[in-house]
Amino acid sequence: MAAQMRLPQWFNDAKAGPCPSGGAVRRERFVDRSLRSIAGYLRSIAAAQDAAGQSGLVQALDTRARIAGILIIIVATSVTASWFVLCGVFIVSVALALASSVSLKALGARIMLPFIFTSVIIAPVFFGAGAQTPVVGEAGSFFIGAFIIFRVTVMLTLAAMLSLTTKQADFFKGLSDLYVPPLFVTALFMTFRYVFILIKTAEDAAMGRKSRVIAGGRLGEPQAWFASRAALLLHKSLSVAEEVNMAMVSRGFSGAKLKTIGGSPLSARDYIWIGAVSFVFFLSLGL
Amino acid sequence: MHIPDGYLSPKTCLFFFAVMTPVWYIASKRVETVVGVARLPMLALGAAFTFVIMMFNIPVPGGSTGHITGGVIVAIVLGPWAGVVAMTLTVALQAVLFGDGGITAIGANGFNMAFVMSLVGYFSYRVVAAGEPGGTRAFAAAFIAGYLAANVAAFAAAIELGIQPLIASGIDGRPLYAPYPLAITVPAMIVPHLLFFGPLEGLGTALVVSYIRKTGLGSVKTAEQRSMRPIWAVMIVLALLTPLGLLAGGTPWGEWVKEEFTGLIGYVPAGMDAVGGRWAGVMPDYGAPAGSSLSPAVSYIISAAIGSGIVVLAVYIWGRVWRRR
Repeated sequence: MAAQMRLPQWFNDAKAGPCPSGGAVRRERFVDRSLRSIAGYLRSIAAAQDAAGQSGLVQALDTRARIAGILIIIVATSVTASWFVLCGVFIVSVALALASSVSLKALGARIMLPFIFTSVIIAPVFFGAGAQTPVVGEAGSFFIGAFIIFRVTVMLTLAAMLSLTTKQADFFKGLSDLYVPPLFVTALFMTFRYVFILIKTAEDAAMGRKSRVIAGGRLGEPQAWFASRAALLLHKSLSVAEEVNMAMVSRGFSGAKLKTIGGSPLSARDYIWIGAVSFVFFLSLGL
Repeated sequence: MHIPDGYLSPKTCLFFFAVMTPVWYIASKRVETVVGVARLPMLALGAAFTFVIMMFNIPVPGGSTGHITGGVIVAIVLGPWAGVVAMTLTVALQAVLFGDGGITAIGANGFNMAFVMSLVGYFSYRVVAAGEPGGTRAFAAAFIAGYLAANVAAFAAAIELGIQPLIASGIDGRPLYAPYPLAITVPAMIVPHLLFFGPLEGLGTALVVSYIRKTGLGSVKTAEQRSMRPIWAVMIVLALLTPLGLLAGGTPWGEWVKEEFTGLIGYVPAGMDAVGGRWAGVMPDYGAPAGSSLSPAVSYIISAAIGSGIVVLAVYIWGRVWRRR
């Protein structure tokens, strides 16, 4: 007869939580926060790639037209002093997001944190702080604060639309086609790619500490750990750079001229889009 | 410190793009010369490093945590111009793909976080770590570099935000962008940086730079192993520009004597009345001692030279005392 296995009482407890022996484990906030930052970044990239891969109205535009158009509207939003223009741009942006299979949740997630930050910063304006002129009364203060927050929100929405409707590879190629200096675009693209390599190293380091350290030492010990991991990241950056450099040079890279494959001609849809955003831009100058 | 979209007026954004365009050009040319254009991956990885290091939290006293920008570390290790390019790449990537900092504010953020931070951090490190610093002085130098760089960059951001109500109001006078005046933005940015973010940037920079120095980490070299010539060039240019002070008319702000106080506010504060003017200095008003026939301009230049000499001597003695400590 097989010996009966005796399970400890806590094992049968339906409530989730650490076992009693885990009571000594002290969570290290700085490790948790680092992991949260890394996870947030990766989640943000994955969400953007998912949204950009959908078929939708904005995704159907040529990348050059899309990037240039959204940048023009961002500038228009920055220039205008009109509620009418801001409201119009915001409504159209949300409508475009819906027509481009960009979920409002993804859009909201992108703008929520800066929106809250701005609201907190601007909140004292509602009570008259920062008022420079005697024309500002209580109602005036409210509209001043609301206008600034709304402008920031609209600009954040547009920037989020740009990243949520454009695949990263297309984005960098689009920048190149728009005459952004090729070396800058190449370096930007490489930076984006290398972030993933380094982020994996950083994540491994943080996860390793989280899983191995039961109770961190005094302040000096985790700080020394941070220094060693940061230095390791830098060292890895430079050694990878050396390897990539040699690989690029061996394939004929001199850095002097970078060429990308030419894009297809713009379609009628792209011209309509450019015309519409230009109209908004000129409208913003006058209103 | 990332200024978002909508906080700065279009003319401010344009101004900083105009300022930064030659800086980016010079930085890329300097990098071509010093690092080599084929070393593009190094810059990209330097940028990626600063990007990732911003996600890493450092434990600080009191149980709190915070993160550093890492720009000063890159400047110390790769040089100031490589630091400018790497931080610019990071700022641009954060703005465009993640909404961290504004797209229209890339110029201003680049000025604060790439240009100001890299140069202030790099040169202050070079000055404090001049010679052959021991571990303690190198740690102190990196701390001071990070601390100063964070504070000067924050000050620049505070000025940019604080001038918005003056330069970009609506026709009825209402602020359209960052609404607070300099009297609010400067303390709001500077106090937290003086007390928390500055020490944090300094601590993070010092920890990493010290670790690199201690372990060697292969080919990684820090700034004190490079030539001091650029710093001396800057010092000499500044010294030569000293006589420009003679062109300015009136009394410098805050340096009023009792009579000027009476003219300005109608009375002399009691404390100033009691102790003001007791010690006139060795060379009062940078002039020649009484009875000398030297002209004011020559006296001014001589006093500047004497002052500079004393500072250089003090730094030299300080460096000798700290050497190998």
